[in-house]
Amino acid sequence: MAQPVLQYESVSKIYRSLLTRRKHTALQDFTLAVFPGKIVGFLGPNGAGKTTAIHIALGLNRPSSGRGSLLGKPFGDVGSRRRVGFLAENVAFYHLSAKELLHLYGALNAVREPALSHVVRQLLNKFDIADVGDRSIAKFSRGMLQRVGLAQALVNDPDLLILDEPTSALDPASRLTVRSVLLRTREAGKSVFLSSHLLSELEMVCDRIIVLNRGRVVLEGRTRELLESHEQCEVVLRQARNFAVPPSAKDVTSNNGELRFNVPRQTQREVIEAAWSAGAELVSVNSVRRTLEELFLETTDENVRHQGPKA
Amino acid sequence: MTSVLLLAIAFVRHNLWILIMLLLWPWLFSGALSFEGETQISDYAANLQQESFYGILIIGFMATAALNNEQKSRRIIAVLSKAVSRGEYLASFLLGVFLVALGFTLSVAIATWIATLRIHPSLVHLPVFLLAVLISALWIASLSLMFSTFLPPLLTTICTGLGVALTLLGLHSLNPAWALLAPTSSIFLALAADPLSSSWRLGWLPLTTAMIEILVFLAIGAWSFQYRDLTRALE
Repeated sequence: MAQPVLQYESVSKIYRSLLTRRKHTALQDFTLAVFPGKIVGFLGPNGAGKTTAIHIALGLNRPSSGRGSLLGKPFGDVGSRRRVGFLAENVAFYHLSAKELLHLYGALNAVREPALSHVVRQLLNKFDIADVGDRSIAKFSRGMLQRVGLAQALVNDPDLLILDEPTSALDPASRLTVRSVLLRTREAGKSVFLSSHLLSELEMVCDRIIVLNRGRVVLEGRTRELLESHEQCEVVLRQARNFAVPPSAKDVTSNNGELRFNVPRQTQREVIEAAWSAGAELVSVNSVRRTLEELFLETTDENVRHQGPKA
Repeated sequence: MTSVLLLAIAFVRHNLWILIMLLLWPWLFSGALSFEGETQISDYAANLQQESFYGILIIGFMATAALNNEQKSRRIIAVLSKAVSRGEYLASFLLGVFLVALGFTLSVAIATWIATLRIHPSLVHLPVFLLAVLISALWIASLSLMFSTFLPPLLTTICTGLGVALTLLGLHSLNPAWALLAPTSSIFLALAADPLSSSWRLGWLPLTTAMIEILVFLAIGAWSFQYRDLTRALE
């Protein structure tokens, strides 16, 4: 089995206020492994600990307990960061031109000329910022800054790409570019660790999903498996005029002579037998596919917040 | 080393207005003195001392808020997520301060030399005097950088000020032991004397000891910086 490119082993992070000594647990017993050639989606509500986890991996913060490795080296190792591309959530750079910035960040990751100039030109074109490459980024919009941020994350052709909200300020065309970059990165056998609130984006590209809530992993698994509900199934019937839809059925629709509804998995057999007895033709029975948004709301407190407190 | 130089240049470019002000200031003062009618050598000496005093303070205290500014603006994240160690990052500030101080002292040297062409004072001690200015500025910068790795900006400024004040206090009780421990007290004493006088003196020992102290402060700062969390805000 391949070595993980990013691994957390029971990592906890507790912030303490210097004066009041009040504690805030940002991460609790966080364990995770990201393997080569995978795109891993990392989601959770605001304050769940996602950025803290990323910053610990990059050596920007130190874990209170536990340990981990980045590209086979302990967190904080300078050499391993040379093979990592990182885009922070609130991107901030020196007020240089986009071209100078890419040269600077490439050189900091030991990319040397003439390869560096070639890569910088390519990235400026890829992210559609070649025309403004000589202008100071102080005059850039947030979307343009984010494109510069993505370009600097790729300037060293990283083995592991860590992106914290990479598409939040991007227009649809730029999002497509990012998606194709992510997919090509995976095709090249490299890995992407992607934190985002754009759940539809994650659903499209991620092989695995990790949901973090209050510093703990509350859900982890393959995207396809997670989105397939094990609790509900969709039943499609034809010629079901004499069939009485059971009270447990949800999302009942009738269209083109087909009757569709969702029922709990444990009543599936009973419902099918009732349909046959009523002379209905069974077209299909499939697991209900949920959206990542539904899954997210189910596994985090966001559901409660969204619906308001129960009476 | 390349990283340190690249980041130092980025730091200088980010503080370009301070650099421009420091480069132009000696010319403005020397120019103003030259246009005054009967200017004495002592006027140039006083001007040189005044320029040096403010230059040391401005350059030295440039480093006080440098680390905090980078952290507040979140630029630190983009840099330290690259293959740059925290020690290199800290050293880049000091190199940036050195480059600014070098530009300032060269500007002072040339401006003073041109301004005093008419009256031919003795400029033989000027290079050592300006070297002392440069080292003093770096000493203050390294002290404040060290404090800034574990203190907030206000406390950093206070502690750096205390550090400078302690060495100035040492001027009153100057004995060989104190001079060795606080070499800047001997340097400050020399800077307070007339640099255009032929009797001006400053030995190499305090300059060398001050340079060693700069490296020690940097090493302590780099060590303490290792243990600091760079992003504390909740997401």
